[in-house]
Amino acid sequence: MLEISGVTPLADVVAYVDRLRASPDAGEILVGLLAEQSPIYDGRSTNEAERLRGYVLTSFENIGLPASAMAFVIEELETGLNAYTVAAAAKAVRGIHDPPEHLVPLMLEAIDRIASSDDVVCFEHILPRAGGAATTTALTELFRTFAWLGPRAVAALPALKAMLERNPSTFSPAVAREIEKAIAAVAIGQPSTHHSCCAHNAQPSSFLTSSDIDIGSIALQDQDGELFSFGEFFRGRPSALTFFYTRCMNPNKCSLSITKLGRLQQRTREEGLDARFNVAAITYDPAFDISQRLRIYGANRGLLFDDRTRLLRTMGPFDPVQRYFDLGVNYGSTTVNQHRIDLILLDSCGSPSTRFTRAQWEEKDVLAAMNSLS
Amino acid sequence: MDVKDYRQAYERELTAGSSRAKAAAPASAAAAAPHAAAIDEISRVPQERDQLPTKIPSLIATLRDQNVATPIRQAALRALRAVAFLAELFAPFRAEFLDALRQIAKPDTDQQLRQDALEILSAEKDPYAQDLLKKGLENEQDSLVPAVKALQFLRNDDHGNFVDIARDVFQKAQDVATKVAALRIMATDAKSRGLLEQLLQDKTQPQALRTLSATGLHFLDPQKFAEVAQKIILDKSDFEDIRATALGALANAPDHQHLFHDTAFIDAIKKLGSEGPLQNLHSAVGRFMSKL
Repeated sequence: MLEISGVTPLADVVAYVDRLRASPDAGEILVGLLAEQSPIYDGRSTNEAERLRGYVLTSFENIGLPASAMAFVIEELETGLNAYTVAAAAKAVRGIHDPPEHLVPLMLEAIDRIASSDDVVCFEHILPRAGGAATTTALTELFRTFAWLGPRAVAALPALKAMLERNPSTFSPAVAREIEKAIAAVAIGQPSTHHSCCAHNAQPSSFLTSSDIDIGSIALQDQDGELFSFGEFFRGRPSALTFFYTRCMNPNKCSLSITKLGRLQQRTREEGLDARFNVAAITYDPAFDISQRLRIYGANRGLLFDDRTRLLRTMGPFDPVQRYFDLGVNYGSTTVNQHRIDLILLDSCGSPSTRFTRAQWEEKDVLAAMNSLS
Repeated sequence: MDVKDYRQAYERELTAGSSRAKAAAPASAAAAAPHAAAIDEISRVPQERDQLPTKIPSLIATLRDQNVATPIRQAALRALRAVAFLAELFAPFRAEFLDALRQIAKPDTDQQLRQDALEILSAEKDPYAQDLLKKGLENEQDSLVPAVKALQFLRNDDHGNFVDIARDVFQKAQDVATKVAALRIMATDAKSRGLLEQLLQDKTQPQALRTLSATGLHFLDPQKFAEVAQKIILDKSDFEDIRATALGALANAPDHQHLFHDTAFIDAIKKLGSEGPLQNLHSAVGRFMSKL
């Protein structure tokens, strides 16, 4: 089997993915390639990593989308900013056997987000080409997916009609024609009486940690320069711990996570629970995110620092923390190239008990899970 | 090359650049003259807000069209850049605009037009443009814009893995402007601390590089910067402007409050203020002392 890594030329990775698409057990192998930690992303730029993910995602349109890939599709529709990758997620939806209805609002959100950053996309090649044939745009792909969903997306009908009625139009004539087609396909349906049992936001799940790492001894520094070990801070009371980095380019990820962490802290204060919990985040990028940067970043997002609320960086490499918590993050030559959303609840021994991963978490769900810990 | 020679070479380069720009201005005006009416009409488009949904596609078509005279295509690009500020109105045409820019970013397009196209695409972190720029830095024959421009454009993306190529250019480049552009990219990488520290302390380096190294080191590691800066400030053999810059940074950044309680350092700074005819340094001393 071909050894694929971060130094494998893109063309060779693409050829590998193309061969996989033709094999009968391609689905799960391709899902494995979507994990941020996959070695195919090691050392690549964010642009390359995003396009590789997009190229893998688009495979599912034809081979069918395995259940294990659904979280990746939801993540892109919910937080993706790259036109190529969001378009790929929209195409992947067309490989779902029985699309859940919570995809409809996510698709509408994706349209809103991409409307101001649409771009031509072509899935015949991994890198964009100038004036190439067979190109569409991310918005076109999203509306084509609505057309594919047809009556199953009837809940989107008012929003689709409103988009078309905007004056001046916020869509190009070509995209407006796709909206018309989507409306025609969706309108033949009746409002669904079937409701999905599953919300799309992150739900708590348990997990195993890497046992060869002594997480308690890992040296940390907080936003004020204070030094202590992981065990010294996290043992003694339950904690909500998330991960971020200050150079994150996606406002729907790190910036929002820290803002929500601030709101979570506020809720624990309002409910008189703040003395019972730690609320903290560790940066993925400890060499760049020095104390001063952490302090400003947290303060600007509403975190009120105290001895239980801190932004942290590892004093050594981040790798042991990543491996211990199996975090979905990878790196280019300078900084993070991609990451998922991860929030972990630790019990009063500092041991992880619950995680909210990939999709956006809600403060109320995290608070409920925290309460069950104490 | 010693510091004096380097500085003189840099000054000559700046002067030559300015003369070239002055000479080029009448040339481009002459080229545009026969198309004045068309250019004038295009330049009014951004003000015709109600007409934009119909005018923008024709501006993009003009920009794409290789048979249209370059000054007219340049005018179309200027108008499109202005219209792009009206984000909501421009959004429907964004994809087509970016596609047109990629199409004109090629060797047989007018040099200024392709440079403008690459500049706009790079600001969008466009992988197509980044790939072209990187290839141009790796192999001069493939370069669509001067190395200094390519580096400035690539700097828009600190997730782009351009530190290695910047380091390579930095080592090979002879002109200070290109070195500065390369160093700006390297200064986004925490692994460049050592190099920045070394450049900052190296009195043979041009002032532009040392000043940028000071900014870069201060950004990546304020503590290390403070250590190095203190040495430089008190080193009478170093250049006055570098010493003044270092002292200014210590006085103005909130990270160095501890120095205002360091009596030995304060005494040394007071002494500096009463020594010799060093105007810039004396001003910096004044600013530092006013913070006490």
